[in-house]
Amino acid sequence: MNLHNILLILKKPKIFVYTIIWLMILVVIGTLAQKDLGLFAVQEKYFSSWFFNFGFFPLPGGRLTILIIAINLSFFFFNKNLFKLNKIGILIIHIGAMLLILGAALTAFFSSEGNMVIKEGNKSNYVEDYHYMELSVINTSNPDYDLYTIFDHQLFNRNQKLTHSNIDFDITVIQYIKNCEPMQRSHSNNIQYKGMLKNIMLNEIPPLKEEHLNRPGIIFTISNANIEIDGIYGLFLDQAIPQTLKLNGIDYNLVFRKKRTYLPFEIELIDFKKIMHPGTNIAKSFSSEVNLIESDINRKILIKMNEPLRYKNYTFYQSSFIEEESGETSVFAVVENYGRLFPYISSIIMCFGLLLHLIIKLPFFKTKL
Amino acid sequence: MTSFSNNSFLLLFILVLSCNSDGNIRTYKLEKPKILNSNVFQNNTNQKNKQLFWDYPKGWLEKEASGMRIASFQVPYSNGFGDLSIISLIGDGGGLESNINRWRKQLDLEPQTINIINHSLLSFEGKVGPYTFIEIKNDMIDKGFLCAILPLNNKTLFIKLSLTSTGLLEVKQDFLSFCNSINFTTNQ
Repeated sequence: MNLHNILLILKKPKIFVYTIIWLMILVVIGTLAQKDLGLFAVQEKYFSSWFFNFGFFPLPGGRLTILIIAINLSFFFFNKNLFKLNKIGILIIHIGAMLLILGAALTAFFSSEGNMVIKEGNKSNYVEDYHYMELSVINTSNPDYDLYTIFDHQLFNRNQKLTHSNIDFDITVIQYIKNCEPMQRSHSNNIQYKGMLKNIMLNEIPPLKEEHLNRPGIIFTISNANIEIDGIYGLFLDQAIPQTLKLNGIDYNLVFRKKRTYLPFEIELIDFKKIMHPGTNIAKSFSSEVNLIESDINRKILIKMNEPLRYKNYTFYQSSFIEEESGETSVFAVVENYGRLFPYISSIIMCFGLLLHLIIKLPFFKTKL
Repeated sequence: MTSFSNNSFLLLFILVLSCNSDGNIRTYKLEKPKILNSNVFQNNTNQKNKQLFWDYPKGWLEKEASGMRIASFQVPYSNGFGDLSIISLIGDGGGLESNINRWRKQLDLEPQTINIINHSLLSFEGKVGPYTFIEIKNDMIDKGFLCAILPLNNKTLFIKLSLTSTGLLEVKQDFLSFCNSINFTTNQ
């Protein structure tokens, strides 16, 4: 079978029909599995994956299925018969569908969601991801600034080497733990353990369905530094003290934290207000008066429960709040989605295509009647 | 048309293969944070620039102070971590009875009168002076507090370690050593 034959198969409409059916099956499987695994785990396993294992059988995941649909639709455009006036409606529908897939790809690869927590009177310019972690190696030697080298969660695979010209040692991942329980180590005979791991061990426990309750951890080796530093280290989420190292006169802090995305602007929380349902402790509505600060220019904005702030591809939703004796803290759900408008635009295009096709075919139906 | 299709297919294939892991490493510079973690608490009300400091046992993890807390620690014990907080309140901070009953309420325990509370109190002599210690626990919910109330010149330090009631005994000695070590230092 040569490439030409493969291409002939790839553009068959049957492929589209089968893949759409498979997508529907995936949706059903995902919906049922969500009850036990939780929303994010299901999304990762069935929809954001190329393949997933069903027992011992590898099956195509949502990402591969969509890619096949995209290829199939792309090659449909090479059909000579499509470029005729009476088929312009179908052509437009296909363009709409391709745009929808393009939007989905942008969302899948470039979107992020997290939260921004700001106390009244404070400012913040970063968003912490809900799901993904990062290992930050921070060079703190410069008196004016800190130099961050960030290794993203995609690199947390066993034996993965993490190196960069900014750091004078090598890191090799031993284990990434989705949910761990730090426990006091009764005694350690392993002189390879360094830092916190000398006293604490990271005990792996089953991940919880409510993902935000998990405490991820990472165990790694540091090598090519010196005999005092080389060894096995461990870090976990919300660890109070960062791992510090001094090598060649440079001070490093190692921090394992939620992935941070820094924004090109700052948000300052001026005032947080909430209205309770009468006679209850249940919040009826809450809102945050914020200052959006960019290039030293302030813009006062009110973010309410159903009135988010949209700015530079970021959407800030009023998510929740924290009440403490020392004051109130507002929590915003922040979504960055470059493909946000694609579903709207593609739906309009597809509707227009359907309508056009109907109008073109109307005389044909009339003669049939 | 076929040649064009072939080329498009090859282009797509090359694009997919050209993805690499370099995008998973990011570098950036940030201005140093203005507030740094420290085990030294600035006593702003004292004109002589006195500061509080303490020694904490090896293995305790200091957390970033937040809200009313002037310091926080994660205290490891056999069943996980306890949470230690240090809060400073002006004057007597509402008094012994109200604060202890506030802690009792947090443990779902009924409030007690000062006469009953006095039977549970222990006095210790720390570096900064005498302080009061009390152990409160509710075995029904397996939760307990080790608490110390340390009066200073014009304010009171409230030190509370929260953990399971079965773990109280394990960390009690470390807690008392910590409270004993609290002291003032004077910057030159």
